[in-house]
Amino acid sequence: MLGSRVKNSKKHIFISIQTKLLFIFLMIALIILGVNWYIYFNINKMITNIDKVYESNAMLNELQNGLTLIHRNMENFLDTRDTDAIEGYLRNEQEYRKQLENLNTRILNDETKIMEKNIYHMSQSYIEITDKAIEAKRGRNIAKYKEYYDSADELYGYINSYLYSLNNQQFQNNSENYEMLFSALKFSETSNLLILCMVSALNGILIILLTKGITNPLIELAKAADEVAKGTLDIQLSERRPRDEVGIVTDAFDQMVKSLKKYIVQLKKSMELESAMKERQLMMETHLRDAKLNYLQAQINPHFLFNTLNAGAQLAMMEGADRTYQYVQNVADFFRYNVKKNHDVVTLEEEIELIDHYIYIINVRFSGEIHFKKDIDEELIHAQIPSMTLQPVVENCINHGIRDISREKLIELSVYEERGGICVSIRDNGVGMSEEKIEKIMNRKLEENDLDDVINGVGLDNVIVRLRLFFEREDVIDITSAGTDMGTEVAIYIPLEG
Amino acid sequence: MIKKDPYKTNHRQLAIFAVIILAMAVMTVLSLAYVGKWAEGGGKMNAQPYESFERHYVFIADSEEDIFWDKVYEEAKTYAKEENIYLEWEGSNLAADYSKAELLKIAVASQVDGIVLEGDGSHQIQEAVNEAVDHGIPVVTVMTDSYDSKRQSFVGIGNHNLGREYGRQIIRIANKNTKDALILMDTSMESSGKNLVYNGIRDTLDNEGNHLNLELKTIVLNEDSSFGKEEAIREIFLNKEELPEIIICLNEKDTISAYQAAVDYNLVGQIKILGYSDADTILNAISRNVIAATIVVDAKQVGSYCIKALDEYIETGHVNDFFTMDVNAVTTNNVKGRLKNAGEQGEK
Repeated sequence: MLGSRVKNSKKHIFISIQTKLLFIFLMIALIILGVNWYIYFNINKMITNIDKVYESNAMLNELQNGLTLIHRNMENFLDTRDTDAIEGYLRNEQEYRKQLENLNTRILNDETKIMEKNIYHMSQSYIEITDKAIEAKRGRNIAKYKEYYDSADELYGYINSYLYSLNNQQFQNNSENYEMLFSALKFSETSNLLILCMVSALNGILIILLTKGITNPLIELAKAADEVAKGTLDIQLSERRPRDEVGIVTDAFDQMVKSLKKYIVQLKKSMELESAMKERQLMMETHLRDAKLNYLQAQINPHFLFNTLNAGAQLAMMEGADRTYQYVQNVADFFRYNVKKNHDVVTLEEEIELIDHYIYIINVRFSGEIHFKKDIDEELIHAQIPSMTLQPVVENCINHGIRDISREKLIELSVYEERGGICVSIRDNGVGMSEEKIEKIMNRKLEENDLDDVINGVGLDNVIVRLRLFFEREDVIDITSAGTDMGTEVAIYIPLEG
Repeated sequence: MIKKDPYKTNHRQLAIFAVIILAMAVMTVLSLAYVGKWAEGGGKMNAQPYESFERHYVFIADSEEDIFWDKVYEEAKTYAKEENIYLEWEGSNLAADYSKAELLKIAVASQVDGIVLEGDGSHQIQEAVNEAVDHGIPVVTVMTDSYDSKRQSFVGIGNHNLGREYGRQIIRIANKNTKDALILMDTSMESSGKNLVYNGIRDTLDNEGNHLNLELKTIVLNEDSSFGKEEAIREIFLNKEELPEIIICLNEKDTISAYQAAVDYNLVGQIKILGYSDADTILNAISRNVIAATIVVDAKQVGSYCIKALDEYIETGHVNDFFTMDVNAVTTNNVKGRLKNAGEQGEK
């Protein structure tokens, strides 16, 4: 893993976009510069060539002028012995000799070259003769210098003729050359334009191609980002990345998407785990409750219990123990109700009957200390409520409200109509309830421990939940307490049907 | 799920682009090279490599327009080239028209290595030749000699030989009834070798043609004015009473003039022309029986011998005084082969 990364980093030398753009620009600039330089070089060469075309003619003209000057100076000297003339002659002769050096002296198979050679040699002969003529003039050898002059004059004519002819011929050649060069120049103008156009097109394609390497990964990255934004995390970015900033961003993006995926998987897993734990806890609680119930149920075989209790009642009657008979009969009725109507919906009347039985049984235990008052609107007692709802409330009043008070213990049950509904109010004169506790009960926040002391497993909490579920509303119960030792009132609101 | 690897599709695109770029680059480079060559084009003429030679001979002949001399010059030049010698036709490039004597002086002043000269009997030429030789430049005369000059050698047909060949042709075309034959001479006759031609004809007729009663006449054509000779020949044809039966021309121009006059005055068949040189016109005339025969000199042989003679003199210091060239007669019998050759040469 580490090795491959090292290898990768070795292979991928970072080249920034700036460097790339600089490289592209330099390349294009170099191409254009090179082509332009070459074109300029060519045009320059052509112009130089054109400039040179008539060079040979100019040279021949100079030769002719030089020759004429020599001849005139010689004539002048021979005529007048003028010192200026001899000076001019010598100067021009030197000049002329120098100019002659430009002529071809080799035997070449070109007519003009041969003519140059002939001119060169004739000029040499001519100068030789003129020198001799001047020498003879100085030596006053009249016959000789006249003879020399004649042959010099003759040669002068020939050389001039040669120069003239050569000049003509060269002019013709040069004109052809000039024509050709000029047409070449014209041609090169158009072709250079074409070449420049071509190079521009070439550069355009090069730029497109080279910048594609920069923009393509960006486009790809943008597409990938779009996909991710739409929620597709399962994207596959190309493995070959440019070695520049875009490459780095792409790497980072890739890493981000991968991390995102991993994170989401982890989150899912932990959520699943949590919900599984909650379920287990719930199951455990349910099972515990079931177990408790089963335990209670297993302890008391109802038929056996009732039969036993009935037998006890009969025995009490036979012995004339009326109160005992009464007590046992009540206990039997209470449990029968419990067993029979545990999960059913019952009438308010049946519930109140159960409370009568319960109070009777409890009063036996409390030696009749508990006073139970009923104020019931008989028209309302047929309303339906869930079973085992009033008894737990009364039990709660006894256990938590009035058990430990030394004064007269009083429980009042009233059923009356209120705000278009039935209100079942159970009031005690016990220790009362703190606001805190009321709040806890109402919001079902009682600890498991708080409920443990419920005798038959049906606590106030349970009652509240069942009432709420049954009537499908929240405000079914209200607990009020004026303060410590001021008693507690539990009001149950039953909505009237229709 | 990104559909495709964008780089993968780029491979084909890349290849196409690469091909386009390569093609354009190649085109650009080629056109640049082409333009560059164009730019060089101007210097091409100057850049052409010249052949260098060891010696420089000049060729001086009177009649530049004469096909025979053209041939001799070309043959001599070709031969000279093989010997590493440049042969220049002196005066052909000059605007001025110089006489042979003047051209000789120019050649001397130009310090050439050797001179091939169509000589004549004039005194000026003789002097000019002597001057050249005095300057150490060897001179070889060709076809026509310059008598009594210091020229090193003469390459010619030998006018006596020529005369004999003419004589033979006269005997071939004449019969007992042929009364006369007219020889067209030119002014320089007396001094040049052309009188030897006459003698040659005379001798041949005397020795081999004694069965003929033929009178040999000569007429000297005046060359003073530019077109004098042609007019003089027409004069002969116009004077029908004195019309000769055989007319003998000693050069190409005269031959063509005579032939043309014969055609123009409708005298073909009445007058027999003996011509000189193998110009196409003359050969064609022979094949149509307008000209009876023509005497031909081998230009190649003449050309090469001129160069050979000069070379020999320069290399050894002496050379034969006289080189005799072969003379052939072209008649209707052998004209076909010549015409074919001439045609081929023309095509070349």
